[in-house]
Amino acid sequence: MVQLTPLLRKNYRGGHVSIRLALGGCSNRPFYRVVAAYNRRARDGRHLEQLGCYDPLPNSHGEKLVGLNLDRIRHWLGSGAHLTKPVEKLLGLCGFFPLHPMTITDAERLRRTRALEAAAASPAQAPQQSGRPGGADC
Amino acid sequence: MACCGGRASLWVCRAACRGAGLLGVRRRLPLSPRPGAGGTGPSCRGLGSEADSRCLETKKPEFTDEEVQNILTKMTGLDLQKVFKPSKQQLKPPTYKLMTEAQLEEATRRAIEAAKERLKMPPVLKERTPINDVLADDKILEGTDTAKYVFTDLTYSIPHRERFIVVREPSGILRKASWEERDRMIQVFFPKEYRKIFPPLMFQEENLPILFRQDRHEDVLNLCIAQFEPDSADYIKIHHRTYEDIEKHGKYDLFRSTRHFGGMVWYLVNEKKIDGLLIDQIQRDLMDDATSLVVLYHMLHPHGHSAKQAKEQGAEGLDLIKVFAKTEAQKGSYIELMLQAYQEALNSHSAAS
Repeated sequence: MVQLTPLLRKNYRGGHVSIRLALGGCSNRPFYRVVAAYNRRARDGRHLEQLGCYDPLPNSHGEKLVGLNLDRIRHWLGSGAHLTKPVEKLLGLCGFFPLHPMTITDAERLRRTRALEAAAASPAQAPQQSGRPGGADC
Repeated sequence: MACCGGRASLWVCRAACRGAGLLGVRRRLPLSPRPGAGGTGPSCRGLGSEADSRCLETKKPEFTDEEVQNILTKMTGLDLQKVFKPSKQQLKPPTYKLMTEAQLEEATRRAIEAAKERLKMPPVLKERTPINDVLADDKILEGTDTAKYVFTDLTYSIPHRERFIVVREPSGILRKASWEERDRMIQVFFPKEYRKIFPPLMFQEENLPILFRQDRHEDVLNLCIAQFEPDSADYIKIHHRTYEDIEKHGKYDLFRSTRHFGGMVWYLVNEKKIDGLLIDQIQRDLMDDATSLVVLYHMLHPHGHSAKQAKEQGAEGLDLIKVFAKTEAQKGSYIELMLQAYQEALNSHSAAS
């Protein structure tokens, strides 16, 4: 029997495998699948393997569900796949990788803006309060 | 921050490797091996011969012991008509077969084997200890998110008990998921037939008596086995509640020839509430079952009055029940009366024939 799939599969020049989030779901209801696909394929197009899923909307118990097939993720990482930032952040949050630097940076920035807002709000309410609370520092 | 250096090094390393195209060293936080091993309590089977004598005296017989299981299977009985009672299925016209005597025996033998398979007792385990393991605490992440993330490892080849299911709280704590969260996640990703994500309303305290009034204890327990894990708190609570209700109303015959009988007897013997069951067995002339019940009671409570007296007198059969009725039973006098009536009936029957 002649195997037709190698002939049908596109061979990319200089492309690489990427583990990324493919968007699905409906309007105002996103749902991501963690997918290993060639870099230059469409975002939701043909993938090599589905490695998990991520539901960004919390369920009735207040949880965002993330399923990750760690065995196969390890396999693709070992085969030289690249990761996109959202996937790296998810893997950092779950403990498979250490926390992503941008997660920490975003947290610090959020904290700083909140502190600034709190400081801006309190002089407006009570002008006698002096000094502004020190923001988070390294 | 002191920890920045370690984290930064990983990302630098990965960036370099990406450029070089070689496999880099992937550093990752150690995920501890077992979220929690469910299972039976400790058993003495692995010990050496010297410890055996001490072991047999002090060890409490478990539900899974061979002798216990033999006694319980004998008491459960094998009523083929009840085991293969018509259950709700799609309607098919009945099939009739013309068989010789030998073929009929063969068919009955196969039916008995199938019935034994159906009568296999569901496990009786201790309640599982809650999981309170914190893997990491990153205070930097506090307040960045409003909902928690539940990460499930979807590797197909690992057993569900060893699956990694971790929760990242909005406060930044990375902890192992509790048993209820684990059961829910496993049902979401690896659904089991007839198990629901939200337990049916039937299992709530107010609704159970309605079912008990309709004598549907068996359905309750079958659905409970389908819905909950054997060592979860809900499973044990519902089973105990059902057994208590049966014991209160004396509806022991509902469970005879079902797979729940063994569990019920085990519970009653552990709680020392076997009087009602004994009376029911004597009334139905099941003397062997009654004696084996008292034997099981003595196996589980060897330091009680009745066990010691029985050993002194070397009692057998009906005498065992008499000893038990005299010493530790609540309705001892009633049991003695029943035994007398049974013996008189036996004598009159033998005299008549």
